[in-house]
Amino acid sequence: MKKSTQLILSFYLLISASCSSDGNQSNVGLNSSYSGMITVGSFLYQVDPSNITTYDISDATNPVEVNKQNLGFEIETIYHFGGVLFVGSARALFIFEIGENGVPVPKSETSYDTFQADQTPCDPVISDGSYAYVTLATTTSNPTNPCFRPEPFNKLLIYDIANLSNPTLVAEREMEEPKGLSKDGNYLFVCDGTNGLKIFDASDVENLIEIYHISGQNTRDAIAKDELLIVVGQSELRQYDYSNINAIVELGRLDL
Amino acid sequence: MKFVLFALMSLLFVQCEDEPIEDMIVSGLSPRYTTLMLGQNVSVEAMEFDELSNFIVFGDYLLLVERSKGIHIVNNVDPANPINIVFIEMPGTIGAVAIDDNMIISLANYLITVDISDFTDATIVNILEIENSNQGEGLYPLDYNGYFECVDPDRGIVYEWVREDLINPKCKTVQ
Repeated sequence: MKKSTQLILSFYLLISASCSSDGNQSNVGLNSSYSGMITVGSFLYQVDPSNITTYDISDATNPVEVNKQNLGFEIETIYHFGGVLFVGSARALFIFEIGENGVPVPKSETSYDTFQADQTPCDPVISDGSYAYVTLATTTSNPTNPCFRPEPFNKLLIYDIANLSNPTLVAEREMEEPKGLSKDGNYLFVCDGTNGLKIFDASDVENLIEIYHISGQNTRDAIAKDELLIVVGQSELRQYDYSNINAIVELGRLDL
Repeated sequence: MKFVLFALMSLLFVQCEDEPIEDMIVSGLSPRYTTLMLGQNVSVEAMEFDELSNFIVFGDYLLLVERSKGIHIVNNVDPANPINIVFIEMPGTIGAVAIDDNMIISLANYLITVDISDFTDATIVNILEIENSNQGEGLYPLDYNGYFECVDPDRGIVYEWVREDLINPKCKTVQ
């Protein structure tokens, strides 16, 4: 554990050093959980259905591929926290530690098959450094939907990642249609499709407490940061102020 | 890679024998093309959202990815009054990241860098073709068995295949 903390710390120092080298802090976009590509420092990580590819984007106008690793198939999303990459796929949660040269070093592949033998639900994953939060969702109504499965399987899974090489499932919760998610402090924000968005107090991940339910929006993905919750749905965007978690205020919406 | 594709194509394709006397109309797949050129301006007027897939918080802006179409740019200086200002039109868009003055967009087998220092005048500044990517539809439709309209590389990059009636199609995949 101490070693991984050191690694994370040194990684941060590496990034901050590279950011300050020209005296200007980079303006870097923060991608939501359904993203298939993200930047970490001067590297771009992209997943396609089969691979994770690393590009050096020191010069964004000239990305250079530095590494490609095959992960199988149905690879969907990628997320970063503290020098660790989390890759969501239909079948497994992949965890990588970013090496000194930016190349992802595989740490673990945790199969979901334990929980559902022949299902391959759609899922994104996020992390807060201590836990990985995965949503798995299927649709049983529309056979043309890529998440279509004959049997419903809709859950939020939480893994303890203290040991990146051996994540352990510590909690799971039934949801209706779980999709994108975000975490800020102790609060976990989970899009639940047509069922809106749910906010949980995740101080104790083994005992999530639902503290707020925003309904009336078909939600897809969310980012909660600096007391501003941004929720994207099928055809609209809504924003909320959660500075007082007990009195969440809708700030505005954009629906065209 | 190109050689392998070419070799694969020659295995997959069945050429027409003689010119048919009557037109043969069959259901098949037709490619949709997009053209990408350095210096190309890809900003168009703000448009309605359809099916947003994911998004990016980028300073005071929100970049909303609409898969296969492009990216909506929303000015979010005042979250109570977000303003949809412009659309970055990139048919075939899969995802994007933003860093400083640039957005890097994945599209079929390409990474496209767009200068977004002025969102209303976003310009393509780099086009990188990715080898061995599993995202492109390339020269023939993947996981498909049947007639399709042959790809004409001069018309641009194929980003999707659409089923429609084809007249005397000259290409066919045989699996």
